[in-house]
Amino acid sequence: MTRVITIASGKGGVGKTIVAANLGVALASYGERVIVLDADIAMANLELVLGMEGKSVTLHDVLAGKADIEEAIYEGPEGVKVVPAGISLEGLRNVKLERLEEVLSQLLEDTDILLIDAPAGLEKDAITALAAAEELLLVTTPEIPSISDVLKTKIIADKLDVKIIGVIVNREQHDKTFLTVDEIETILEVPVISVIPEDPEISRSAAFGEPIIIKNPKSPASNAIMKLAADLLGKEFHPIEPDKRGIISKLIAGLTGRR
Amino acid sequence: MELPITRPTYVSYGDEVEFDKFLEKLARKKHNGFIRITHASSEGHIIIKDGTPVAASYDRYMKSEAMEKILEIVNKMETLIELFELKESQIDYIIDINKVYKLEPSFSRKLKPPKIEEHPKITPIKKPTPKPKEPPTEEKPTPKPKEPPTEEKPTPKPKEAPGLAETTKKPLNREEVMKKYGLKDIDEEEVEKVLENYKGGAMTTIDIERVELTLMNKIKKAIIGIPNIKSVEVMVFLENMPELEGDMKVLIERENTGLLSRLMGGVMKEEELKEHIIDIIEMEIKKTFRGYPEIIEKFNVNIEIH
Repeated sequence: MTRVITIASGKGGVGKTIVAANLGVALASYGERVIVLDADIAMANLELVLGMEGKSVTLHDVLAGKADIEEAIYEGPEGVKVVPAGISLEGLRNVKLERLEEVLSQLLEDTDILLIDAPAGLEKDAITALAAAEELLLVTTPEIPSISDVLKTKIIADKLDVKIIGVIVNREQHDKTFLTVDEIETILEVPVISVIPEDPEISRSAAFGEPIIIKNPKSPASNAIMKLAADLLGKEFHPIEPDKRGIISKLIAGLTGRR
Repeated sequence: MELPITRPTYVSYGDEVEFDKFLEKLARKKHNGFIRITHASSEGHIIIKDGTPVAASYDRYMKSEAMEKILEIVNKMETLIELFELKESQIDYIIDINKVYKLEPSFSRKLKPPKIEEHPKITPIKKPTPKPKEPPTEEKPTPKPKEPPTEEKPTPKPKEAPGLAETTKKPLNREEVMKKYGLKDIDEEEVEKVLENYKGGAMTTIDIERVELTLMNKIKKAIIGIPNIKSVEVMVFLENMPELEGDMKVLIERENTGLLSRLMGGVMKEEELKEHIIDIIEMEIKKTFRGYPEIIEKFNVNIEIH
């Protein structure tokens, strides 16, 4: 049976899309048949994070009734399937959100996990993505505005009877001004299931259109995402150790062709 | 833990330093500060006062449990150990703001090297009692450094799997935390408003049939209230794809009216009646699709009067 997991945040800019993209790739690397659907039709950027921009057919076209969903599925890293939303404000006018449910049902065939990257906020498009979910992952940063918004999303999700798996605390820093994990759990009344540390590599990898778990699998952020994927699947996780060799030994290894 | 992270005075990987010896050295120096231990995505801290560990945290663990977890991973190659120094004047304050992590006095005693000058070779953790070293022996052959919550649950269901909250022993008061950060829950009315907006235009096939029937009955009932109408038949066809639109056909049979009534103006002319019926239809459509008034433009209405 296909698991339909929506990734939502409430506030924009907390790294939800980057988490969705990397989690999708991570789940696929464990052998799951995964589709990541960018439901953020107004501010689509999943395709940018995965280096898949400029696709001819996107979710926009499907929701406007101009194309079939099969035409909008593209293969990404590790075999993850991606449905980009398409970056076109012009196309947005013709989009019919009512079609999303039908589109989703078509995607469930031959899929183990359907990840939906929900839009930020609580507008109709965001609620549609929430309502379509069986399970929900909430993404937040440990800052007050993010927590405030994710709390609203959580309340709406509860009302819609969506099962909340847990909270992902993204861009965690050791700063007294931020909320602690305990405080976040207390406020949201949902367990924090992953803490992804602040890592400048993430922005860099997104800029290059490459998921961090591929670009830098040894980074703490990559390990956190891989562990989250393993936890979601009930699989064992073995962290990838950081490379401790010095520059000289790396250079020698590079020159001699040994890695 | 809340700690002033500055520049570490010492950095090493776990396999490059014997942690018990390291603690012993700190004890000898009566060090004040803290150690940060980073292993994969997990992080821990040990506060040291006068060379003795007094508080510990690791990932979700606190106190002695955290200390045990740290000891499990601290000698691993991928573990990073950083030492930070604090002034004597700072240490008590730091301990106070992190008091929930304070080690039980008995545990602190166990870790404290017993009189270094008398037993110089005895390390704080290792020799005298094997107790604190127990966790590493549990570790056995598995290289997994940190997965205790998932290990217990064989089911792959995520909600059950990580369960990290369960490990947090110290329950915080939600009201207090919310107040501290100026947060509040959204009220029921606001929730309903958000959901109402969502329901506005999104309909499933099942909804369509229900709406068609409701609309049909409402319009029929309204038209039959107009004087001199003998019978009314209303047909509504909604289309949700590619966009929400509708077709409506209204068949009206009027009663025969006498000449006098017509002369007195008590009977609407056909055009007037049509306009009146269109007003009724628009009103009913608006009432049915509250929050989606544009739907009016998407309806094609055909009225036949006999």
